[in-house]
Formats: sequence, C-alpha cells, structure tokens
Amino acid sequence: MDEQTIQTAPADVGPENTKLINAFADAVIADNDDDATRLAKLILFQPESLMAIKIARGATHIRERGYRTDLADRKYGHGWLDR
Amino acid sequence: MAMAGWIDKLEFALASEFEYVRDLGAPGAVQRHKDVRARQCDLFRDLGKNGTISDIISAEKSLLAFELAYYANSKAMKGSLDSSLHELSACERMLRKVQQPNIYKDVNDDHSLPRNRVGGLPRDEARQFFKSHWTRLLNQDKGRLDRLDKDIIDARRANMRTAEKRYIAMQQIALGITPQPPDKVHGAGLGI
Repeated sequence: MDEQTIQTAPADVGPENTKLINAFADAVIADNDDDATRLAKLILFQPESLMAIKIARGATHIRERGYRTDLADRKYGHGWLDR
Repeated sequence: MAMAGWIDKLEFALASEFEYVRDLGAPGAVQRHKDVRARQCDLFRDLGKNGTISDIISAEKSLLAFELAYYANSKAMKGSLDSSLHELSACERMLRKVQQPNIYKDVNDDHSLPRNRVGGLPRDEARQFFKSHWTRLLNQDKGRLDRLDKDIIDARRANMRTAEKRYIAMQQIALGITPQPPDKVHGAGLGI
C-alpha cells in the first residue's frame, strides 16, 4: 500500500487492504494463529483499533506485534503512541 | 494452546469485527462479521473454563477498550466505559496485592467496618468491580442487540462470576482462612 493510495482514500484504503482483512478474518475464524499473526502486520487497521489496543495493552505491545499505525498516525498525529 | 495467546486471539477477533462494522455492504462482510463475533463468543466461554483470572480481566479490558475507542463520540457511553475501565484498573491492582499476603493484610485492615466486608472478607475494589460490572452487563440495552451480541454479554457476565469466585479463594489464601463449604454452615438460622 503506497502513501499516495492512502492519501486519496483515507476512509477506505483500497481493495488490497480489503483482501488482507478478509484473509485475516478467515484465519481468525479458523483459529489459525500463524496466518493471523502474519497478516496482522500487513493490514492497515482503522485508527480506533490501534487506539483500543494501546489502551488495553500499551504502546510496547503495538510495536512488538508489528502493527502498522499509518492510519492512526494520520488521525491522532505522529507521536500519539507515546502520549 | 498457550494461555499467553488468549488475549492475542481476542484482539485479532475484535480488530476484524470492527473492520466489518465500518462497511457491512461489502461482499462477504455480513458473514465474516457474524463469524468473528462467534469466535469472540467461543473465546470468552473458553476463557471462563480454562483461563486464569488475569486472562478473564485482560479480555474484558480489551473489549472495553475497543468499545471506548469506537464509541467515544457518545458522551453517555464514553462515561460508562471510562468508569468501567477505571474500576477494572483498580481490580488489577487488587489482584496483584491479593497474591502477596503481607501486603493484602493491610487491605484487610482497611476494610474493617461491616459494610466493607462480605462473607468475612474485604469488599475491596476487585470485589466491587466483579459485582458492578456484572450488573452493568446485565443492564445493557439488550433490545437492540442480536443473538450473538447477547451470547457474548452472557459469556462475559459468567466470566465475572467465575473471576469473583476465584478471587474469593485468593482472598482466603492471602488471609489464611480455611474455606467453609457453603452446605456445612453451623447454627442455621443465625446467619445473615
């Protein structure tokens, strides 16, 4: 997912992300932890999800998991993870 | 399955649910939205059977955090979720203390008045959380929820009861009290 794609469609980051989300959900439903863990590092999750994970488990957990914070960075501003 | 994975699994299931909440019109979205919530329901139920008390509380914290992050624009909802999370934090602190008898002794001393005790044990902030959160979940507007949402709430309520029971056992251990089986109460009629 390149930066330009994200900027042109911030609310829906495109079909590639949707495919990843579907594959991720399918892995979650099938209790396939390996696939879910791998896909979770590729998906652009909504900002609120990252915020929720920060509230529940902290910034360190987000970094260790390798979640992409692109959309959250945009919504909450850079440095939000450490505020 | 390693217990460490419980909360990760739930986190994944919550993150996927909310991707579909955004757009249920997309192909396959309705079914996946349903399936990931069914998965959450299974996780909450399994947690009640096989998880630790910490797992149960962490799971609740994750779910509340997702609700707070997504529904914070509703003032009433935000207030309720904020207080739930604050009470949950207090519960987490108590959970650490109850595992250290020399520290929990002070908690016991600080809850000396009858109104601050229940069954001879401190009605501390963990006990208060289990009770108030159970009630809060009971009072959620069930009329607007579907079957799966209700099942998830039921599993969470059951988990609050399970956590409470386990916590009581931890209180008894911390205070060196031998648990009395409830069916062997002496002097029937005098108890309150």
